[in-house]
Amino acid sequence: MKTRRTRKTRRMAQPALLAAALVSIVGGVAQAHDDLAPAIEQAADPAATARGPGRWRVSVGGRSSLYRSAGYDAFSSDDAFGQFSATATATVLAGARLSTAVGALWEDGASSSTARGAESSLSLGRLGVVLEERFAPRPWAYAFVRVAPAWLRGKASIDDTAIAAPLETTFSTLGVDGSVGVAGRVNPGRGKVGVWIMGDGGYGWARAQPMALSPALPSADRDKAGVTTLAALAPSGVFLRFSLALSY
Amino acid sequence: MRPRRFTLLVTSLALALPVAGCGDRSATWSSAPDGSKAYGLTGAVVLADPAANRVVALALDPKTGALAETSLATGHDVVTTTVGPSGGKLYVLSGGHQASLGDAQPDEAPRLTIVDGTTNPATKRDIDLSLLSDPLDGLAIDPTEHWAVLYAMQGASAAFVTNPNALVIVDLSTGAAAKPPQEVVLHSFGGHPESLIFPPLLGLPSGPTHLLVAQSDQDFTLLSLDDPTKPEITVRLADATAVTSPHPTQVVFDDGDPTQTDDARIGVSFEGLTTVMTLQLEPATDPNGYAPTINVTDVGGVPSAIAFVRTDGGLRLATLQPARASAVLVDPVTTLTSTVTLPAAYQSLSLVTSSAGTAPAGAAAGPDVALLWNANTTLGGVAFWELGEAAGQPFRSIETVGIDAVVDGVRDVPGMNSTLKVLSTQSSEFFVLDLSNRTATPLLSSLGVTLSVSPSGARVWAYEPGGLDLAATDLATGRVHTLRVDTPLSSLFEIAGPDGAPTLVVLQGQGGVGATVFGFDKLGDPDEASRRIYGAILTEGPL
Repeated sequence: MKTRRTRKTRRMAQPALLAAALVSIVGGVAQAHDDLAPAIEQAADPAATARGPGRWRVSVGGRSSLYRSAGYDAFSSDDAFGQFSATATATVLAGARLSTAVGALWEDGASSSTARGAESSLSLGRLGVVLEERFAPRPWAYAFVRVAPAWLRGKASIDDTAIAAPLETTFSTLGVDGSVGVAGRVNPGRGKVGVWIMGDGGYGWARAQPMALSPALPSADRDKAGVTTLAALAPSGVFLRFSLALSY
Repeated sequence: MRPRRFTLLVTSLALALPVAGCGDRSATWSSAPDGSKAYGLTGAVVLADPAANRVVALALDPKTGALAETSLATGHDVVTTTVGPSGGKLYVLSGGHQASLGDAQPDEAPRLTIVDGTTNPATKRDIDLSLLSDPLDGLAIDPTEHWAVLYAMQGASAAFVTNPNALVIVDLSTGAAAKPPQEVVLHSFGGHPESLIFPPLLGLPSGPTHLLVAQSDQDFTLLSLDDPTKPEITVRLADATAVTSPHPTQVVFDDGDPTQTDDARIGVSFEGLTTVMTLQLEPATDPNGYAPTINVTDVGGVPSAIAFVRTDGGLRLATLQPARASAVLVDPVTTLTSTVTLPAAYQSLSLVTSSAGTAPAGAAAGPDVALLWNANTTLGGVAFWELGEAAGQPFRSIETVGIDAVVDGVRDVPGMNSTLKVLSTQSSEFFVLDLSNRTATPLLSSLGVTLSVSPSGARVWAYEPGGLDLAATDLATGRVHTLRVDTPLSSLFEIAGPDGAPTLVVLQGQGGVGATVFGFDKLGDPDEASRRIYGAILTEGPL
């Protein structure tokens, strides 16, 4: 009877955890922690139940985004934009199959092409917070929903040899990613250290950035730099991320 | 599901999504704008961008003062582009596109795009030419910019079959009074138009008339632009029994006495012939109300240039004969000739009567003054020919100016310095000729510099394509102001800014298209401090 009651308690705790995770997405991390007292009281100890995704997790991989923005055409011959992606998460709430993790995300990438005969390049970095809800039906696999608000910083340049200095501009903005994914453990057994391969796909949004490039002249000549305005760049679009992760 | 199968699924998803979703950008992005030509208009520099089926107008933004780009779409397959005589508009003739089955690009009729560079930002309008199934590749604009005439340039037409004697007359005016484009097929005796000439407004028996002269290799045709439905008049240059036809080299016009309607004349010279032809357009009963009366005169040598001039003896057709270092004046009424010996074998002449200041202001038009140039020796320089003394003392009618160089070009100076001419030479110098006091100021330069007189007439620019240096010579004072840009320049244009102040746009075109823009200070000199550098000009988008 005792065992049956414990399982029932866990089943009831799982929807509560999921609801708490959704609230945290909308209301922010601090509010989620403030409001989660009842759920936490019902949850089991994360260290004891993190048999699937694990308590600590780091992952590295690649992210491929599709930017259909007209402003991206000057920097790539197609709509794809690739980035290196690194994530570190910690499980903060864990049930038998559901768990909640928070962490940090860093992604960086660049694209280069030619724009009307001039070399062009765009680099884009993203530093964000990860909020992840995981569902692990098996010890070696789980699915997850991830929301990652992030700060984006970009640099665009066009090296037009018609003038003495390359055109450049930088920008920064806030954005948010939402994705769903799956992960599978690739090292057999039930050891504490797990090696995982994971993939998620979703949509990343950031506000369109005006692209006003000007020659990178020495500071003494900065006032001589005229502005060339390209179409606005919206670093938004669907993406797929493919990572290799270690869990503990 | 086993871990291995799960890994495969994730990998497949990772590979499939980017491939399925990727879209290519427009091919225009990958094309270098090497073929982009630049045209200077009154208030804008217009860059033709055929790869993107557009033109881009560069002008100063009235609010910021920065160089702003305005992209204006043209039709596909641009066949010819020309600036109108007033310098304010650009005319772009495009052939369109004939779509085949499955063609993603739809059918597009030929069209004439008119870019107005007098507005800020530049604007455009299109005139549909769907009456043409194939594009004509010749475009001529009349000096009043009321009409455009399309024709088939010899040997350059892309059409499968072309009637070279078919012309399309396009009314360029706007509003309800504008007539639709009209096709006219000239009657031919075997020839085809080689050039189209727009005479000045002529007072004909039927009233003031804008004529179009279609010059062919064996005849020329007079057509009324005011009413193209009237039958054209063709003047054959040889009789029907001749085996060969003389080839016209120059056609000139004179309206005669403004109060008379029966004395408009046309003068024609011919390749390799010592004869010239004069035609008087006299009253007639045909639908045009006039008919040409022809006189042919042997002037004793092959003329290199002809012009109608007013002498103290009346109207004459002046012919230059460099082979004999002389000029011959032909009386178009009597065909009598008189010869004037010249100090050098001049090959070109320009009438400078209005600028030479021989007649008091407000007085009736007196005898002409001609500027003779392009002699075959450096000692020739240029000479003034006073036609007021041509009949009585022709030997005293020539006055040379001490220029020790072969003058190969005479540029008019508009506006404030209209009494000046800029003379280019075959040596490393050019001259500013003052017609009023008949002096010439030499300016030394590198060999092969390109000269460009500013639209205001305030200065002449000298530059060398591919070089870094450029210089402005103030035409009023002769003061030279030299500028230097950082990368090789391709061309330069002086345009009017938003407040009418001049602005210099220097284009630099190795790789992409860049520009350096200069303003002017209160003294009228280029202002280095105002320099602004712009790059990657044709990348503004979307394309």
